[in-house]
Amino acid sequence: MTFTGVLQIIAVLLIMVLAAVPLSKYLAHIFKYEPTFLDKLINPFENLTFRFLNIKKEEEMTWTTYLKIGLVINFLMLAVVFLILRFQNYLPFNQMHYPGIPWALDFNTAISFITNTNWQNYGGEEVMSNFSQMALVFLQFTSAATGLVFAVAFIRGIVRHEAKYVGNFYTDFIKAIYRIFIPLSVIFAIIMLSQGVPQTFTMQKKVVNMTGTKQTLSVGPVASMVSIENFGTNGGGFYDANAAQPYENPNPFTNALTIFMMGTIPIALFFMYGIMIDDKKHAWTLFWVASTLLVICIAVIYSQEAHGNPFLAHLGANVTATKYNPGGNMEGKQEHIGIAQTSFFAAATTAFTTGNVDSAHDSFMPLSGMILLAEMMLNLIFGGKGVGLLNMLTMVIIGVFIAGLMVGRTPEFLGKKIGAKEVTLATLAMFAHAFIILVPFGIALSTAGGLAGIFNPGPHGLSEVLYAFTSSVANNGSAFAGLDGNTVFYNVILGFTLFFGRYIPIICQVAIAGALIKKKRIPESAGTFPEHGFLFYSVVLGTIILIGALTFFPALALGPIAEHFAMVKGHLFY
Amino acid sequence: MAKELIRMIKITLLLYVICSIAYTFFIWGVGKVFFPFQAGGSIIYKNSKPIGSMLIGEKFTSPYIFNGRPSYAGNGYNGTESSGSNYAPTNGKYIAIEKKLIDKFLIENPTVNKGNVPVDIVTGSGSGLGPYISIAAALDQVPRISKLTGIKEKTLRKLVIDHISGRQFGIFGTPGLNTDKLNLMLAEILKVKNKKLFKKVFSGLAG
Repeated sequence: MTFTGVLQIIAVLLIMVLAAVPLSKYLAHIFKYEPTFLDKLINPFENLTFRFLNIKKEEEMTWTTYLKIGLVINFLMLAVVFLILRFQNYLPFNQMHYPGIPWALDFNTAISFITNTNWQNYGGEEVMSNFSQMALVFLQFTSAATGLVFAVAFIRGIVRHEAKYVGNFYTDFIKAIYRIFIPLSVIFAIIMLSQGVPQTFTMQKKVVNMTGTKQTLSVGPVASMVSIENFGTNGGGFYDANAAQPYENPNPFTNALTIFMMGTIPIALFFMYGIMIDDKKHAWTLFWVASTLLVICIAVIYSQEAHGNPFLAHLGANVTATKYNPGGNMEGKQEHIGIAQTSFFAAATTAFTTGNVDSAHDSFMPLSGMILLAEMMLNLIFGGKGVGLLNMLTMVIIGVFIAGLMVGRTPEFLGKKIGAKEVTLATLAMFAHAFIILVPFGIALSTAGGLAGIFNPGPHGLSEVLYAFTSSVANNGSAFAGLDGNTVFYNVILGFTLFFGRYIPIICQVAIAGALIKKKRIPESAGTFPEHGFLFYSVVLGTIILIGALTFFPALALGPIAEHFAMVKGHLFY
Repeated sequence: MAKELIRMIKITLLLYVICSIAYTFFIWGVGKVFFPFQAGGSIIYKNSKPIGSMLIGEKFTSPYIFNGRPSYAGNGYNGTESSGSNYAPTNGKYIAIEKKLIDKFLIENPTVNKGNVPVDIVTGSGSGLGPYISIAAALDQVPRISKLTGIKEKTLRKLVIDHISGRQFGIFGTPGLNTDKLNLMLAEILKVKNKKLFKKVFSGLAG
């Protein structure tokens, strides 16, 4: 670890938090239907849209209607993109004459993008026409907006009392896309473009290099994808190697910018929550919980990667950082981006559940890999669009329930009594997450189809399979990419885990909102457990670590932890 | 219900047109007007022929020039198949490959001591297309290139030092050398110094 390395990380983190504060105010205005500075520009388009769709934007819905409409729209969008990919050979922008995407891969990919995961069992530049890539961009906008508006509905469930309605899905959805995702994506796509990210409808360019070698370069509408893939915490890149491909991420500045794009909205959502419930102290406490976890994760990964691979040091490579030599574990990393930013990027992409990668996670040191897995298993270190906040609040409900049991009081959450129904739903959401990771993981390990995809031998191979299921259920999308997931077995099983991993927790969480909204608000008394400050921080953090550790520790022990101790003992796997 | 379904279909198609088609074309238009070079893939031309992009690494394996990092993109620096090696740090097969790469580097560059091989020059980048190597990796190759081309070590060392891409804004990234740019500069020197060798090594630039 170097001084400049640590400085780079702190600088970007600080900029993100500073940008998240004003952004959160803007977000809160949008979802409280208050005027914003972009009204003059966007109102005409928005009103036109509402008229076209014949929507009365003030007409509110119950939580069941809100949820139903959201889900059906998701499935319709899924169908549209499934068909576009399947029949891309009949569609434009396909100069390379790529055939239609086979059904199993298509099933996996379409679900992967509508669930905000962007797990990719394909190399974009090798199988997708530009038209198909653009169709995926459509889902990158809508899946991000879906997660976000469900979180908004949840917050309204907390804020409103003795009420029935959580908002209008169409209104929230259109506002999220028109007022947040499109403006931000346009601005940052242009910045990325200026840095060297291509934006063209050509698919390949042939050149003859200076040494006479023929080289073909894959290009396409990359810049437009790069901005929304990160702002939407989607993570599905244009290329196989994603942000490790220099065209997606040409320099260290764009790398820092990508981290910024991934993290700023998720952080802002925590603050937005504070504004909407009118309890900023509570939101800041949750911010510190997530920040604590994030900083620990970055520190572990950075120290592991900077330390490097002892086997290479033994063979004669210099893994110590000096003025001229980067040192560390450079396998699968870009030299000019460096160990510090790459470690930060990896920690960020799993914290914000983006899944974009600027390095090969499969080649990370065992304990770094463990941290990446743990971040996705918890899935609430700020987390993806909306769902990160939802998962955090689910954990808070479980936390106050446990605290309530300990002191023998009915648990309360922001002035509302937490009953059996809310706790059951919260537990179900949490349990579903673990169940959908671990059960298919077990199935994969006990079938030939599952074992066939493994690339690296030994415990690392187990980590590859665990990573695949964790990443898909957490709707992350990054991979230990050695695993060959493009088989009917993995395409289908991961397709289902993606689907259930996304929608079961969301349904439970919106149902909690539906239960909370009906409740009376009880006035604060001397016995009310404070929902901010150090005690509350400890309860939430403790709940997260205890529940996370109890659920996932056995799986982690068999994979990365076993691999780490084998490595320390100098043991290789064949 | 039918009315609701029609509305849902309408919003799906409308957002498809906006988010997929209109948005992509808008950014394309901006690129066309303001950043035509970048939008096309930052491809540079010599003798009015496209020779590649300075962002994407090229396969430099000839001993006369600065070699890049090993690449797992196709059979090496294949611009249509970006990929890292995905080898785990404890994979025995990987360590065997690394042994070969390290030994090869030591034989090709006898001035480098065992234990001092820059780790980046024997490991693959994340995409197999990264053009950058560390300063140490570039300087370590200077004696070999000097011996084979007859260009003075001092000249080559200055070339390396002059072309270091430092930290952006003084903070972001790790200093290193873009092998595309470095070798293009080396070609200029070689062209003056030894025309015959220049034509042999840089056949893409000759003629």
